[in-house]
Amino acid sequence: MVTVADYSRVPEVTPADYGSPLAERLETLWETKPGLIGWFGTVDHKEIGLRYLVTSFAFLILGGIEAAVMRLQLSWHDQTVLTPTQYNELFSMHGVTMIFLYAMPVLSGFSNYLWPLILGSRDMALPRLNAFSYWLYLFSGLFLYAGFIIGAGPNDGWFNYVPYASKPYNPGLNQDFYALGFILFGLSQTVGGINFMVTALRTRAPGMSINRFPMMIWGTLTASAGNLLAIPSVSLAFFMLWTDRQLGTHFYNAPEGGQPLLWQHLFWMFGHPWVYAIVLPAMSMVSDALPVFCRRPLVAQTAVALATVVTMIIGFGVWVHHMFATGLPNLSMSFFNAASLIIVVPSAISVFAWIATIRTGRFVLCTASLFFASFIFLFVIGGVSGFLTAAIPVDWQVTDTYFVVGHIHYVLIGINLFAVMGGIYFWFPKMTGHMLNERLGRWNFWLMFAGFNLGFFPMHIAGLLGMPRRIYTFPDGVGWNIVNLITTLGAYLFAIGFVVLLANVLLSRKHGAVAGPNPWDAAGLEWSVPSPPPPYNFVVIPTVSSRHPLWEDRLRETEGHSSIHEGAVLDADKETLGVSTMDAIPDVILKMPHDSVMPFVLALCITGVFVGLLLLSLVAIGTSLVLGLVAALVWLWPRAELGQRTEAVP
Amino acid sequence: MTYLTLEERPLPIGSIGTRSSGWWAMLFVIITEGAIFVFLQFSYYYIALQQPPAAAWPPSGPPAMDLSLPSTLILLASSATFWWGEHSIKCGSRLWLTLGLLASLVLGAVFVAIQGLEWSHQHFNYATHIYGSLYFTLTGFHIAHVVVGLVIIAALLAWSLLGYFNGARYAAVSTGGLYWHFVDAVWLTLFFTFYIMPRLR
Amino acid sequence: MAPNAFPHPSPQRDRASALLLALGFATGPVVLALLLTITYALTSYRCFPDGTRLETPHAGWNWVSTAVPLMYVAGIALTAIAALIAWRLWQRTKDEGPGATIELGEGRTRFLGVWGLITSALFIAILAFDLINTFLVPTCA
Repeated sequence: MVTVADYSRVPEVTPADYGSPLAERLETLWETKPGLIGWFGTVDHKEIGLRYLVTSFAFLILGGIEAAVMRLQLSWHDQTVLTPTQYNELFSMHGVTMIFLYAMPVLSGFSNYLWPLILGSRDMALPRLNAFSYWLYLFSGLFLYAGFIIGAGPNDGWFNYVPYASKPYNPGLNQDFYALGFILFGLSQTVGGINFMVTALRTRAPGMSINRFPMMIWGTLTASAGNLLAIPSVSLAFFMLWTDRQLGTHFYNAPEGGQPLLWQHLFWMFGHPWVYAIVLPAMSMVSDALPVFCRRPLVAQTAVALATVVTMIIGFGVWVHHMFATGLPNLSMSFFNAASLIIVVPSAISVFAWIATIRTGRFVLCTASLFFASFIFLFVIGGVSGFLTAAIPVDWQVTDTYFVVGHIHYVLIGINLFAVMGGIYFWFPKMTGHMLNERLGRWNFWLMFAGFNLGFFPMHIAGLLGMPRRIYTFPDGVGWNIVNLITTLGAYLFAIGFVVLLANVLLSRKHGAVAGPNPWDAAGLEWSVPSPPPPYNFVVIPTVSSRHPLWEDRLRETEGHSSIHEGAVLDADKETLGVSTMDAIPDVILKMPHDSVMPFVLALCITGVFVGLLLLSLVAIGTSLVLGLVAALVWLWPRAELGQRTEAVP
Repeated sequence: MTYLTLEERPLPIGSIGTRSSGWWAMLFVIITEGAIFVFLQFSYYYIALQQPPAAAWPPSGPPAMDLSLPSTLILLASSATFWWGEHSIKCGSRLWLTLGLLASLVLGAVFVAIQGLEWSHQHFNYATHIYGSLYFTLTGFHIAHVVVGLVIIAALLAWSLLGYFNGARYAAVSTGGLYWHFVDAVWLTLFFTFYIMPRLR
Repeated sequence: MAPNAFPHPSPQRDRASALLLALGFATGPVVLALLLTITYALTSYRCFPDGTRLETPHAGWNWVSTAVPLMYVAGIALTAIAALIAWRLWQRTKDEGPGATIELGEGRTRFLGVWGLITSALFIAILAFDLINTFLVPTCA
């Protein structure tokens, strides 16, 4: 009888050398083939990560332009830049773009690019699924913007309450574009989340037990787990909205026994974990990168890692704090009030750990570290205004005013964008081999920091002065002129700062100072490979013995020594190691797939299904389903070279 | 001491049972799919609990069990035959794997047929009232999952007939099995909600 | 390669079963999830027995005022047991690796033990907060 032992081999162990014939052989095995097929079929996590980053920044710029137009409209009383209808679509699309199409994918971009490098692996666990996730994301963004361009974009805000989103009050295609586009987007994030989960649990360097996870693994792992449990909620809510609108079901239809509040429950059961999903990976990027500029490991990393996980867990029990003003019974609300206040504790653990790291280390001043340090400052402001609104009486006073708008921008720009900016300055050298210009970087930072605080802090004041959110203009004499003018000026200053980043990236991409493998003298595995990394990442698979493989000789805190310069070869086709979940003990040699266009084709077919649903065309739905089924079968057909069939493999 | 050193320790190559990445991916697929059904059930109870006390729930009384009870047993049987098939290939018997998969395919198809019959017997549709919306959406989600499961089983059956599997290479069967058992388990929760719960009131 | 270059990440893994480690960590979250759902439904239902909001809770549901605090007391007790389990596991594996668990994080078993301890403490705080709410906050009003 055939047993597992018949398909086994002892991996060869050799010293690492990125100029050896072995490296050349790996290069041929792993590189993306040139041409169109290669472009559509690449499964290289670095290529996909860069695509995620570029695409999400394109959406960031679009969302920014939308914001700039809105700020013109709101800069003074009774402006007529926009009609009310245009304003509705613009602010909704701005929210959808920033919160969905930018904030999560940009972090997925970083994680896609960096994870296998940080984990000491040659690719994500499921490379084709990775490509699939990107294509779905791209198509969902195009789907949503197609609606926007033909004047049928979302127009009910990003959280899209019924009954205004229901057919009688919103007869156009706007809500159908949003509902279906979102489900498509949710699918891409679910698929990506599954990939992150399997990668973190299965494809790491031997010895990287869960207590040695770098923080970035914790952040994205937590966000992915949260997404897997939360996205179904809102996808279902949008599906029921769509059936209510198109098929005549009654889920949100009160006269027929439906419940409009069901929408809010389902939306926020997703919405609040989602907010953590788009900040926790960013916080973890800071937890990994900030200590490099303090020349010491992160203070209390065990607690900070736990804080990341626990924030997400408690984050599932706070959703009703978005619904304090809906008339729910007091005692019921107070339970969510409790969780909303206690959730500050894990955040505070992180904040104090960062501050202690700066305080007890030797802080190195540069653009990246400025972004990270200011991130802490903005996090505290955004956190405190969030803590305030967690108290029910305060929430009743400020809900639906610009105070909440100020809060959400401090949280999302402060905790997401500022971490991302620092992350770009930190990891750009790894991705391109060139440093970003430091002089431009300082301009970039100070313009954005000053512009952001000038623009967004006054929003809190506007809110306290009674200015409601989502109004397209306001009359003279209510006292909101000056505060709005300052906000507009600050926002434009902020935008100019962002343009400096784009200039810096374009300039430094080819002409920046040469970085070398480890320009910051950092501790993570990603800094042990050349910049930019070769397609196969590691010429031999490293083995780790501590949280800081490259700093061990300096710290002398742990018993073992990580082996960066010697390890398993794995060159009989595309291969990497699979390890046990908890202690990272190698248990399998995984065969990795080559380029495939099937992820692209399947994503196209699924998008076709959604176009069919939008047009209520059974022909389009049926055709897309059949083609998609064929693509899925071709993709998943067991292959001998992947070790999925009875044939022996080398 | 040298647990991590790779010398002298042979490692299996490629897709091996629960060590294959595909099996792990399926684990997380069913976690997220499970979440969908949790939220579907939440929606059902959220709406059901808030119906006016005077209104009958379900509006036309508890649905009959004459079709659903046998179909439930049939679906459970299909899980058992799948389990038997997977168990057999682990022991090296491709014949019993093929037969087990074939049985699961037939039993699953019978379940879908009975469910279709049950749908056509209902005196309401999804637009008649809120109960109809919930009933057809929840059971519809489940049937869609069963159909996907049948496609998976059909593919596994074809691959089994092509001789792709043996006593060590059967990861695809385990992966498909994980999904199929999940789909069956979910049906039990729906069966409880729609057929048992109204009788308990 | 030196034979001791790679000490096992969890040399004392035999001293703490995976099940107990999981219990220490997961009890608090599971208890809170269940209690939030159940008590939210119970306390809300009293104010909307027939779809319109009452100012004073429906009299037929007075048992809820006793049952809900008791549920929270039970929840706190369960989570306290979990904290105790986590604490004992941590004590048993305290010397698993060099340095402090909270800083270096060496020793995977004690790492999980500490996680269980802190998590349970945090969830006891939330549950206690909720318990106090049941006495101080009017049900409907």
